[in-house]
Amino acid sequence: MWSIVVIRKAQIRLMLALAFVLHGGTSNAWTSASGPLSDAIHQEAIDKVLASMSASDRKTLKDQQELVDKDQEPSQSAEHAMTGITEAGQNEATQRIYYIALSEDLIHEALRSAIAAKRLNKNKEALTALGKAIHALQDATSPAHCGFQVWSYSFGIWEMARHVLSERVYPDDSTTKRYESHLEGAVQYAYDIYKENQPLPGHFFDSIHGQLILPDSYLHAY
Amino acid sequence: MHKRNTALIALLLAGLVTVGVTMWSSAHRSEMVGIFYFPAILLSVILSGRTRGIGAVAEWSAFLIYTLIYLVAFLIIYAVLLEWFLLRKGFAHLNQYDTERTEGSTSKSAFESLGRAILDVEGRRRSHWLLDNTRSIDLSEPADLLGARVLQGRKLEGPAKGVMNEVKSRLIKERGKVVADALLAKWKADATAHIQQRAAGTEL
Repeated sequence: MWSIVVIRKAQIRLMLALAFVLHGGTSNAWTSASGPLSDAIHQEAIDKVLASMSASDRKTLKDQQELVDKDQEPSQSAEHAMTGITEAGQNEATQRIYYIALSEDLIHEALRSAIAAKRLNKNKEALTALGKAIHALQDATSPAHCGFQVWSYSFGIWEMARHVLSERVYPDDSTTKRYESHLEGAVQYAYDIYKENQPLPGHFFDSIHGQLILPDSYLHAY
Repeated sequence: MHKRNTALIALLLAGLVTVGVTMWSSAHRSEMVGIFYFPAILLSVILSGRTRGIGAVAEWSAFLIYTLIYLVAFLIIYAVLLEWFLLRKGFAHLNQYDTERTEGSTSKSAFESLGRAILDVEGRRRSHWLLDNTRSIDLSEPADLLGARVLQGRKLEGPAKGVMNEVKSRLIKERGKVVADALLAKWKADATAHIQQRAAGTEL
């Protein structure tokens, strides 16, 4: 009797999990999903760079990646270091400057909150805020995002699939763009700012073109 | 094609492809996989609710669906080419008939050549796991009887149809349509008599 109840509960949990994932429970930007065609890049970079953190702290950071990836609307593009085009007639260059500024504010605010919470020993709160900042900084290094590329309300499945294709696997440093170094450097940079080993910079991005400004020492600094 | 075997082989190969793509890093990362599975990524995006990213279940489902589609398509093409190859091998018996015919043959030798070609093709087909048996062909039936029945226009399926089409095409090419039609009509009449005589226990 008890075994039947346990099995039914397990079935319900499995169905809920499937429904969650099918309704976009994962990913956006650098993908957060891990499957035959894609890697959980956000999480893998955190595991790789912040290996010195405890597993539970890293889990808090990694969980945050999936949560941020639920925000899929073009108007939420600042969370993913992209330029949102929310309606017809919007100018791309103007929108880019606007979303760069939004993203700057978001990252600064998240890191300030993380540092403040850390000082108050509110570990979970601190890491949640840090995870949000890390997400935007990681996304800024993606080939599908760098330079605050456009994410438009008018995009169809073709553009979406091309976006997924261009960032489906964990990057390497085989090209001059050195995506791997930038991705991992961005994580380390955010973590060092959080640990107050680095000052919070005035700008994370070039204010016109949106390129991530990452100190050279962070290219494979971990 | 043998449907059950095709399905089982496709599933087995799909398992191997899945293991390869998930466990073998260079395959997982290869651009070819990305390009080859782009339709699966499109499907994943649709299943994930038209987002920039793709959900794990959507990704796995689309990957498996497309892997099976590709494999079944590959197996179908393989089976078609195999059928063609086996048929070509069976035509060797018709070449033998061409030699006999120049020495003045009877209709019975035509039945035998035709039947041998069909039995040869069907025998080879039956030894292959991907091809289904042609149920209307009995491998224990004498070649001349099978050839006579095929010439009567019965059992025209599988290798019988292929071999018969080749015979017609060769006759037309070599002797022209009028002579070919006349010869086929004669063989058909002789075939009926041959079958009746075989049934009665006498030879043509």
